[in-house]
Amino acid sequence: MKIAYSILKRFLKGLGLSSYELADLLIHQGLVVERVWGMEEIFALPIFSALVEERRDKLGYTECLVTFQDKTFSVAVEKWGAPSPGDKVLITFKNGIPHFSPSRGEEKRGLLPFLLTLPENFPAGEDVSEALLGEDCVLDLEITSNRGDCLSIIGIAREVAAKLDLDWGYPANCYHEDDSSVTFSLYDEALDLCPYYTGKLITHIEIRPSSWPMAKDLYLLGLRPINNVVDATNLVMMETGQPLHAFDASKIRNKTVVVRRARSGEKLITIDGVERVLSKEMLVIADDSSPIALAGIMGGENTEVSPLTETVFLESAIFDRVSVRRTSKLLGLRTEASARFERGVDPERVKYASERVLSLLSQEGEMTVAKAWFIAGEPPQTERSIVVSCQKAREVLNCSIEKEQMMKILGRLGFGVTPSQHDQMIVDVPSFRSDVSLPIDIIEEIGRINGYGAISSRFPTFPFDPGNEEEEDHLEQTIRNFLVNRGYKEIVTLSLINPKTVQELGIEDDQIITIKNPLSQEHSMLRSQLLVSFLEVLRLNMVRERNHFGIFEVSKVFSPAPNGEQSWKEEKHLGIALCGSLFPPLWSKGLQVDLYVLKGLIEEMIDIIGLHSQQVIFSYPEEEMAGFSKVGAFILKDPQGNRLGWGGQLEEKLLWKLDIREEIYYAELRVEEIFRLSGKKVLQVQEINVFPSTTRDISLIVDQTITWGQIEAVLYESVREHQMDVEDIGVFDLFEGESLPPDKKSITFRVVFRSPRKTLSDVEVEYWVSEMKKKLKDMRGVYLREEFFHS
Amino acid sequence: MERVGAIVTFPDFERLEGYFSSFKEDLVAVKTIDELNRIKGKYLGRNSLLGELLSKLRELPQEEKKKWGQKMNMLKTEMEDMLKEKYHVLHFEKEKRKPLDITLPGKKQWTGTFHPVLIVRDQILAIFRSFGFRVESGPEIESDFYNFEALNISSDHPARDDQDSFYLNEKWLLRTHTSPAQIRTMQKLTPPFKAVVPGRCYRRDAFDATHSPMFHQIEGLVVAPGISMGDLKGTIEAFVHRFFGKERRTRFRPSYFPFTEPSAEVDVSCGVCWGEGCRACGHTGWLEIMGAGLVHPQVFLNVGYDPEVVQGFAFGMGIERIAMLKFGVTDIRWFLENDVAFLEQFKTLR
Ligand SMILES: [Zn+2]
Repeated sequence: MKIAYSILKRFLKGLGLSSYELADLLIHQGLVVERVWGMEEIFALPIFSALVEERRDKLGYTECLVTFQDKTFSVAVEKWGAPSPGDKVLITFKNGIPHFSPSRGEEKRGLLPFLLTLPENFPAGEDVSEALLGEDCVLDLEITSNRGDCLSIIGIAREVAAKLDLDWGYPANCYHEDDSSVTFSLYDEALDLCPYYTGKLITHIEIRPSSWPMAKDLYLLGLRPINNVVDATNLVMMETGQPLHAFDASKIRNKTVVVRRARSGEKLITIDGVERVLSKEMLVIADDSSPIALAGIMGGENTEVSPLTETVFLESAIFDRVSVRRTSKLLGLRTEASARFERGVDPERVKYASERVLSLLSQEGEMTVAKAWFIAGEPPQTERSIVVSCQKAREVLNCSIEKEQMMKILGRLGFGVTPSQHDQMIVDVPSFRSDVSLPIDIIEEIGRINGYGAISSRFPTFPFDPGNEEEEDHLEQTIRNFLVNRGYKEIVTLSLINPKTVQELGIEDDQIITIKNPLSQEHSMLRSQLLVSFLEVLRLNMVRERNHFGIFEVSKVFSPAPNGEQSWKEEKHLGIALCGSLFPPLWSKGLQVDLYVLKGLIEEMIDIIGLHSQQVIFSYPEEEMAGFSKVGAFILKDPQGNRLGWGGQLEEKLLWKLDIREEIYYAELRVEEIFRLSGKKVLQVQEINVFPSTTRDISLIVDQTITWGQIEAVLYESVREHQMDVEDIGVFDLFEGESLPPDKKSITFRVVFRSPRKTLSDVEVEYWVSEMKKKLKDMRGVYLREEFFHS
Repeated sequence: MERVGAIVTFPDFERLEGYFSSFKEDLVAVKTIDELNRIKGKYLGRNSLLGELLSKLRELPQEEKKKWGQKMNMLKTEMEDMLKEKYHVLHFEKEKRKPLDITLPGKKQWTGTFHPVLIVRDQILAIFRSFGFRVESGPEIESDFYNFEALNISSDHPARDDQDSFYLNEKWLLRTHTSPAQIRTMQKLTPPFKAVVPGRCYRRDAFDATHSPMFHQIEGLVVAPGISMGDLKGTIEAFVHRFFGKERRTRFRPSYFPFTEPSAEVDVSCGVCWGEGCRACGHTGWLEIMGAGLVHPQVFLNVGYDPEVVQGFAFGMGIERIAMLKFGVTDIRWFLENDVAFLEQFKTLR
C-alpha cells in the first residue's frame, strides 16, 4: 500500500520526520517499507503545463486545441471532460509524442475521458513536476495479512502516533443535506454474509473530472483519477480502509437494493468489462431483478457512474471476510476493496466513510444529498476486554518496561486501558483491531511499539541433552564425504519432473505421483527415482562441453504406498553418474571410466559402511532395465533377494535423444535399505599379522559363460573346507583371443596365503593349492591351463 | 680363470690383493651404468673370483675360514659401496642430460565438491548441534493439517496466499515450509527440547532469479518453561555471530506469522557495505535472513501442550537465500542447474 507524507499529515498533527526517518520507524514496527519514492519515480517523465486554446464541440466528443511552446496539438475528449479555453492541462512527451495524462489513461477509441486542469498558479509551457510534488514523498508499504487496519492512512497514522506519542484523529465531516423525501427500498437477505449495510442517496450531482488536488492525491496513492464521485470513494477507502461503491441510482430498477446470494448461473458484467458467471455461494448486490455488483469486490457495468449520471446511491457496508475471499478466489478477481474486506474493516467507521465521501464531494462542487440513511442490520459487536499481566509482558519481552509506558502505548494505538490490581491491566480492544484477541496479542503490541531492540538477549538455560546423531544420518554423511573425497560432485536437483522424460524412459505410470495443480507440464510429477533428474544435469553439462566428471545426489524419491494407511512413500536414494576420463587425457594417457570403476566405487562404499560383499550382491537383472544398455546392467540385492539398487551403462538410444554422445555409467542405491543392513557394528581390532605370506598363481581356461563369481565361490568353499589360511584371492589376468578357442577365456588369479600363527611351510601351501585345483576341475567348463593345452 | 681341483690352496686367497687394485682401475674407467653393471658382475658375480672363493670358504680349516671370511666380507662391502657411489655419480650425470620437466601438470584426478546449498545446511546444523539442538526430520509430502491447520492457518486465512501450494489431492500437498516439522517434533519429543529440522520445501512459484518451486529451509524449535523473546534473540544472535562473523549485527523487527506471537523478522547487517547501503542489500544496509517468534498458544493447544506451562520459540530460514548472500550467488537457478564448473568453485569448502 502506498501512503503519501502530505496525506498522512492530515490525520497526524505535528508529524515532523523526514521520509527516511518515517520509513525507519515503520520498519521497526513491522510495516515493511518496500520503497521510498521521490518525485522522479512517481512521475516517470517530466510534466509540463500546457494551455487550452480552443474547444470545438463535435458529434459525440469535444476537440481541444492545446498549445505547448508554439506548437498546437489536438486532443479528442469526452464532452463532459473537456476543459475551457484558458485552462492549463498536463502534458508529457514520450518519444516525442504528447500525452495528456500522467498515468496509463484508458483511451477508448482514441478518446480521452477528460483532461485534468491544473491550478491557476502554474505557468504554461514549463516543467511543473517538481512544483507538483513539492516536499512530498510516497512510501510503498507491505502490510502483513493480519493488519487489515493498516491498509489505510489512518491505520498508519495510529502506528506513527503510538511511537512518537502524537495525537491522531479523523477529520470532521461537513456537507449539506436536504429534507426532500426520497423513496428507496433496501433488503438484506443475507445478514450472515452482510451484517451491516448502509446507503446514502445523492439526489443531484454533476459528474466532472476531479479537481487537481484530489487527482494529485490519487496519483500519489497509486490510483488513477476517473471522475469526481469514483475518485472520492477511492480516496476515502485509502484514508479509512472502508471500501465504498457508488451506483448510478437511476439505473437501479424499481429503486430497490437487495443484498442476497447469487442464483446459480446468474451473470454480471463487472466494470472491468468481463462477464462473470456467478454461483450460489457468492454474495451480490442486486436490484429487484438482477445483480448490480459483486459484494465487496467490484461493481457492475449496468449501474456504473457515467458522465450522464445525476443521482448516486452510495454504499458503505460490512461483508463477511471469508465470503469475499472465496468469491474473489473463485473468480480470480482481486481488488483494493476485496483485499480490505478479506482482512476485516472497522465496523465503527462504516457510516463515517460515507460521510467523508460526501464531505469531499461537497468541496468539489454543487450537489444535493438526501438526509435519510438506508440501513440494514447493525455494526457487528466487537467489544472485548483482555486482562493482561504486566509482569507476564515483561517476562515474554524480557525487558523492564513500566506499566505506565505500556498503558500509554496501548492508548495511542486506540486500545482502552484500565489499570487493575496486582500489576494487571484491563485492555479494551478497539473495533478496528480484529486481529487482537489474546493477552499475548496485547504483549506483542507493547513489544512492537516499545521496540524489539529493547528486548535483552539471553541464551536459554537448559538441562543437559546428549543430542541425537542418528546412525542413518551418520552413514549418509560418511557416504557423502567418501564420494566428495573420491572426486565426485554433489548435486541438488528438482524433485519435480517432466512426464515426457518419464515416458521416454518407460517408467510405469502408476509408480508416479502427479501434481494436481502444476505450474507447467515440465514440473508436474514427483520423481520415483533419481535417474530422470540426472539426465537433465548430464545434458546441460555436455552441452557446455564438460565431459569428465562424476556426480552424485542423496535425495528422496516418492511413490504411492500400496494400500497403506499413509498414502505416500518417501525413500532416500543415492544416485551416481560418471563419464569421461578419471585423469584429464592431455599429455598423459587418461583413464576412461567404465562399468568396473562404477562397481569399484560401490564396493568401496559398501566396505566403509561396514558391510561384506556377501551382504550386497551384484547380479544380473531378471528383465531388461529401462534406460540401461542390455549388457552391463546390474541389480544389487541383499541375501534375501530384496532389491538394494541398480545400475549400469546408460543406453545409447536414450542418450542420443538428449544429444549426449559420451558413455555414461549410472547407479542408484536405496541407501536406507543398505544402511538398515549395516546395523550397529563394534569395531574390534585384530592382531597385526607379521608372519610371511606365500603367493601362488593359478591359471584356468574356462568357458565364456563361466563368471569369476562362480570360480571365487568354489575357491572360498574349499578354503572353508580345509580351513586354509587365505588372506586374499584376486584376478590379475583376464585373456581371450587367438591362442584360445573362441568359446574359452583364460583367467589367472593369485592366492595369498598367510597364517596369523606361524610361517606356512611349502608343503602346507602346495597341499592347499592342489585341493583348490581339485575342486576347480570338478566344475563344468573349467580347466587348469597346464592340463588344457596337454589334453 | 683357474679352476683346478677340489683342494683350496692359500695362494688362491692371496690373489685377492691384486684383485682389489684391478677392480679400482676398472671402476675409474667406467662411463655408463651398463659398464658399471658389467664391472659389478666381473668382480662380485657368482662366477667372479670373489664368488668362487666365498663358496670354497667352508673347505678351509676352522681358523683360516674365520680369518679369510672376515677379510672377504670387508672387501665385498667396500667394493659394493664404491659401486653404489659410482652409480649415483653416473645416474646424476644422466639426469643432468635428460631432466624431468617438473613444470608439466601432475595427473590430477577429479575434484569433489559438496553442493553449496548443502554446505550451508550442514554448517548451520553443526552450529545448532553445538548449541545442544537435536536434528529432526519430517516428510516432504504433508497433510493439510500439519502444513496449515495445526499451524493456525485455516483454509480461509489470507496468509495462505503467501504460500501457494502444490496439491496431490484435496488432503495432501508438498510442504510449503518446514514448519509442519514443529508439530511433528512436539508430538515426538517431551519438553524441554531444542531441535532443528532441515528439508526441502515446495511453493507454486515460477522460476526467476530469486524464486524456485523447490528450496530448502531449516526450522528451529525450542520448547521449555519460561522461554521468552530474549531467548530467541540471544540464540539467533549467537548463530549469526558463528555463521556470518562476529562483526555482523543482528536486527529484529516485528512481523506476522499465524503460528508465532510475537513474531519477528531477523535481519543481518550487510557484509558488502557494512550497513551503508548497496545493491546487495537493496540500499537498506540489512539482509533479511529468517522469520521467527514465540510459539502461538493455539499451536501448543493443537498438539496438546498447555501454553500456561511451557513456552517456546521457533524460527525458519531459507537456505538458498542464505547461500546466495554468503557466496554472492545472484541467481537461485544456478543451484539446481548443477553445472559442474559452478559446483567446482566450492571445492575449498568441505
Ligand atoms: Zn549492502
